[in-house]
Amino acid sequence: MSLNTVLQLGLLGGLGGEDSSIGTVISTLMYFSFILFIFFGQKIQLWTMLWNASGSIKKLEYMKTETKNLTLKTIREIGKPKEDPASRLNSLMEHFLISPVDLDPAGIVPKLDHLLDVRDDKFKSDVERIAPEADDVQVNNLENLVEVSLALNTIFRIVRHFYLLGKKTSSFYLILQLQMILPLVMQQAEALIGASKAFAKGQPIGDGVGPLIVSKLMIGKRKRKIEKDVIVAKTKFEGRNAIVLKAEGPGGNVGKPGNAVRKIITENKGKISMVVMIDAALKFEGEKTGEISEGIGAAIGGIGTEKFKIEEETSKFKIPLYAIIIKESIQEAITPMKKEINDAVDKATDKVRSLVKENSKKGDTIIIAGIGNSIGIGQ
Amino acid sequence: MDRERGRTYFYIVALFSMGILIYSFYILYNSLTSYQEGQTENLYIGIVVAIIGIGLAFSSLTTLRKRAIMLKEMEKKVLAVEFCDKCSFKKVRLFEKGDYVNKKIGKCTQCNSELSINAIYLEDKKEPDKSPQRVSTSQPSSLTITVCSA
Ligand SMILES: [Zn+2]
Repeated sequence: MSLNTVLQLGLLGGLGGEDSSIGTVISTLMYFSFILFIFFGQKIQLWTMLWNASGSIKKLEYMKTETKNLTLKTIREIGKPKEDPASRLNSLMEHFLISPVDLDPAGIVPKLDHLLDVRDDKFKSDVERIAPEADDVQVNNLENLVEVSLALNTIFRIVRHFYLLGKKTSSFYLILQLQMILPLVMQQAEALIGASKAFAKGQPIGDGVGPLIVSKLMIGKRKRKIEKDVIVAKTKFEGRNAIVLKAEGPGGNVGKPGNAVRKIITENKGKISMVVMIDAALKFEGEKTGEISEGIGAAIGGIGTEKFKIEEETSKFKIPLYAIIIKESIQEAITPMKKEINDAVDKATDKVRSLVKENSKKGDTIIIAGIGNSIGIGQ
Repeated sequence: MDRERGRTYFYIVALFSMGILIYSFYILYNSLTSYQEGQTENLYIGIVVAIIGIGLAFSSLTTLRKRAIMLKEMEKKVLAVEFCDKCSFKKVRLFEKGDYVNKKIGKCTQCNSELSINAIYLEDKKEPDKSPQRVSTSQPSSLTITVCSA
């Protein structure tokens, strides 16, 4: 019986027929709210959006403070600073990089590369200063941790800026834009929280799968440092002379694989028959973590300077460039390595093996580069 | 102890929301029966109150569920696998500070060759516990599982 009666009553009940006073009140309220929504609907929507955004901002602020506290705690624990590191950390968390002018883009990459080098050195020396007792590995991990704090701080400041601006101007579209990107921003912030924990403890992260694969090829071989923070080893791989490289671990490092590849190619006078790059790549929603794909091109993320160098060098000598990627989400890439990703190591190595067999001859010299952050992964 | 308190709070809120949910349905039912007896006002009030109650209870239950999933994620532990290349001796234990993949950690207890850390990863709770390396998380200090094929 009841569902039908309820529906009928809900639709018609208040509008007439009944004499009850409550029915009249409710119908008046309905009319009133109808008119209210016609005239102030957008305002009401604006308020609810602002309310939602303010909740997210509180959460972001909490995350930012938590990460900062974790960073300070880790610095005090490892670095045993004599003076309070808080003020210097505060200034590092506001640090910025002004990208070079791109009105005339030719030759912008070396300029950007130079700025990044300077920034890197500055971060490293500052971290060394606030953590004098830390060793090289720990300095690298702390540097990564400071970078995470900086990223969270920047996210918080930008989101707060648009929130306050929208509130001040009551601009529906300003707040709407914030509302639109907020879920993705929050996802990224949560991933950064996970990253901060991994960096504080020195645990391998999902992005480290490239170096992890290459590190397995390096076991027992003679290693040398070819460039800043990049380790290279020579090994036999399916009858080919493989030069394998990865960022130096177990400190948190991505190194400069572009410079390393360039140097190896120059050392071999361009006589390289193929370059294979192994990297973690962003999966689409719905795809499985740890799936492996192969393709063509420079598999390397970041701002683009390293990619540029590798592309330039390989095209100069017409060296084919192959990519093997291991799929993972943005969260998985910067939080402790999942088992699925670790399990992909052997499969990816097999894929590299067949790729090398199909595309080069025995006795050839090839380069295999494991791209990614080598935190928690030695060689 | 903090985690313990969080859990109690969690259960209290869950119980409370369930109570509200059940009570809302009760009100709805009551107002419908009273409508059949001819009391229209009760129906309106009943429906409005019940809808508000059900809505609130559902929203609080869904946030609780989200939080439970998040807590479960956060409780996951990072494991380190000690492995001997020669005899395939394998030991899974909790990650300790200073561990890293390919770190040499001494001699293998089975064959006396080099033992090193072979992998470090986040434990996978979805995995069925049928594998020989049974991981018990209830006693972290005794979390060592040894498998030796030799
Ligand atoms: Zn052994």
